[in-house]
Amino acid sequence: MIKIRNLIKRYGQNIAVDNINLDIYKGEIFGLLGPNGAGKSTTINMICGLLKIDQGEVILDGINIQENPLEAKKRLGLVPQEIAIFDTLTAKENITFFGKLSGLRGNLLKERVDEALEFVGLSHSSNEIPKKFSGGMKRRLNIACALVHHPKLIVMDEPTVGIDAQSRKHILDSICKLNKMGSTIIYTSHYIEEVQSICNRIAIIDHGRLVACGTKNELKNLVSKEEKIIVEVIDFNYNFLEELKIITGVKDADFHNGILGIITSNAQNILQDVLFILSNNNVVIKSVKMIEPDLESVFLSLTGRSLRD
Amino acid sequence: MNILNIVFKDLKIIIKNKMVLILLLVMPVLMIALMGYALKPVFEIEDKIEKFEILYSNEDRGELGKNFYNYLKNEGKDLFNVNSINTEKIEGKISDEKYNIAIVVLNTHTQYEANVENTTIKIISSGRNPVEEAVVTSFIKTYTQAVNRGIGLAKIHQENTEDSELIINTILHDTQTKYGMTFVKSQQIDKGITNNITSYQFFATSMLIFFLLTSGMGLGGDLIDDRENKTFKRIHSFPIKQREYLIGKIIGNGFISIIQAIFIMLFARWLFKVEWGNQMGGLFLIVILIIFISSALGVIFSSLFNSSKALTSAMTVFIWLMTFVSGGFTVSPIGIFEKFTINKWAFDGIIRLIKGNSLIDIWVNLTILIIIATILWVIGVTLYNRRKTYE
Repeated sequence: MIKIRNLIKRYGQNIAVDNINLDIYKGEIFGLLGPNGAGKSTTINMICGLLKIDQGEVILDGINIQENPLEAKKRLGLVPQEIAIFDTLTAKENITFFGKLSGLRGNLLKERVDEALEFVGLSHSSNEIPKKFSGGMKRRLNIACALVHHPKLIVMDEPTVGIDAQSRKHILDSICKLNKMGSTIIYTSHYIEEVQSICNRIAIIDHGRLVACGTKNELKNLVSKEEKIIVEVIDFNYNFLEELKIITGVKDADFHNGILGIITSNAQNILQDVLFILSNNNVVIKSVKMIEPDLESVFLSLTGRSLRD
Repeated sequence: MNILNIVFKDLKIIIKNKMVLILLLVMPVLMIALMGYALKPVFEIEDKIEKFEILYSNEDRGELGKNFYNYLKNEGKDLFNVNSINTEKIEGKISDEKYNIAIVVLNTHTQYEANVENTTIKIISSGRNPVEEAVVTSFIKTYTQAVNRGIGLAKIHQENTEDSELIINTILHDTQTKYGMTFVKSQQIDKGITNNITSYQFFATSMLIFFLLTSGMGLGGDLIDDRENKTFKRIHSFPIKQREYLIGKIIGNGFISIIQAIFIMLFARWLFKVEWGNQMGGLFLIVILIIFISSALGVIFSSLFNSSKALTSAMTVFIWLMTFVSGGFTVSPIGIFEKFTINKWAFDGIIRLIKGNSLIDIWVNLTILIIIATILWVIGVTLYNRRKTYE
């Protein structure tokens, strides 16, 4: 569906996208994972023909986006990170406008608009203006505007930012539904759980470079020996982190919201040492569990930093 | 087709915003009403001399006595009221301060004139009103010069033809019948552009230009809002060319401006009796040029600013300053600086059309406006293309 070859984007001396090569296959949900500023949105903007490509090429459904952008864009539906809708037009008018831009007319346009509204669960609010919508409803309308013309490729740039759990679930379910209906989806996020739950394949991007690409299992296999010890604690002092990090076998340790996370190649062996240090420092332990590597630890292992850095 | 989609979307957004719509249409009319009323006295100075009373005594019962009386009644009817009186009573009436001036034609008048003797029409003045005195003196002088020249010509003619039967009046009559009064004509040339227009005509024109220039703020603000809200980016993720988007924006904004112009012109005519003349085609051309210039300003300012509020503030200051310098608010342009304003050339053009001039008469104004529009659009398009609006 998409071939990305040697893609480079520079801003002055900075390289935002550094020689990325990717193949995204028809019918898959492809995740682009990376922290803020990793180059995900820049990559997506080049895929969508919204940003000049400095070097390399993007072939969308056999069409070079630089050589024939209008033809390529007919196959594309972009859900931008920002809620890019017109606040003073109703939900229906917004979708109709974007439907017309994609070339839909007459009864087909009406059918598709109703279908898009139905799909995102906004049929009952079709004649209301988005100003009155909740954040989740606006996000759903943002998605509907990209679906109205049944694009072969749907590009979603962090579509769940800043919304409640219910709307997030609705959106993630919708994405899976779209995929089952035959759409290829590129999904970017820095929410690891989302990417993990819906994507068939995942590319990890950091500092504009493609760090790794594959299925969840393939990525986990890259760091298969790593495990994570999760300790729920009270009265933890950040100074103790340094003590934990120098234990032999500990690759990294972090503390966030009362949860201490320790990445190691052998959890069984070092668990005793960890508990000893914590009890020595009078840290109250509420629970302890050991988990296999997830994408977060894969990311940490490959890039040396957390997704939330 | 994409251009029309953009146009209709923009029109829909404006129509839905009732407050903006009301401001667009009502504000200009309010401004014309306020400023037109406030500065009405500047345009309607009463420069006529009020009709006054004079005393008149005609002791001459001959041909020229009657002739002078007719001249006095006919030519002087708009200047003064003639009160006939006996010569003896004149002194007393003037001393009583009831009258300031009197004209006395002596009883030897006709005889003297017919014989080309020197004679005098007496002007008796109280000295209290120099204006009335000057008016009557000038009036009598005009008469005496005409009569004296006529008598002189008639006398020479009589000597050359040796026709002793000819009388002066017959010669004067024959000459006038044959040649009329066409040898020397006077023509008044109106050099002041604002002469002979009403305050409402002035401010309707001035405000029409002002509000059309501000219409570019709508376009510029929209361009920035689309950029900031990322709707610009989203629109261009669909198969639409950048120029289609820009042209659609310009047409949408221009359409609203034309509606605004028609509204201003119709309401100014209806409420303030403003005459716009017969050159509607020319007026439309200038309106289109102003809208074109205003749109270019909007595009330029949108490339320089990152928020529509900043753009609105900057453009408001710029247009107010230009209107002020051109005298659009105060009726008094600021020296030669007015020539560097768009308002001056547009205003002069419209006023000349209102006064009945043709498009050819305002070719300088049109040329300058076209040059300004072209320069601004070249700058606008360059800046617009240079700004990487998706990023």
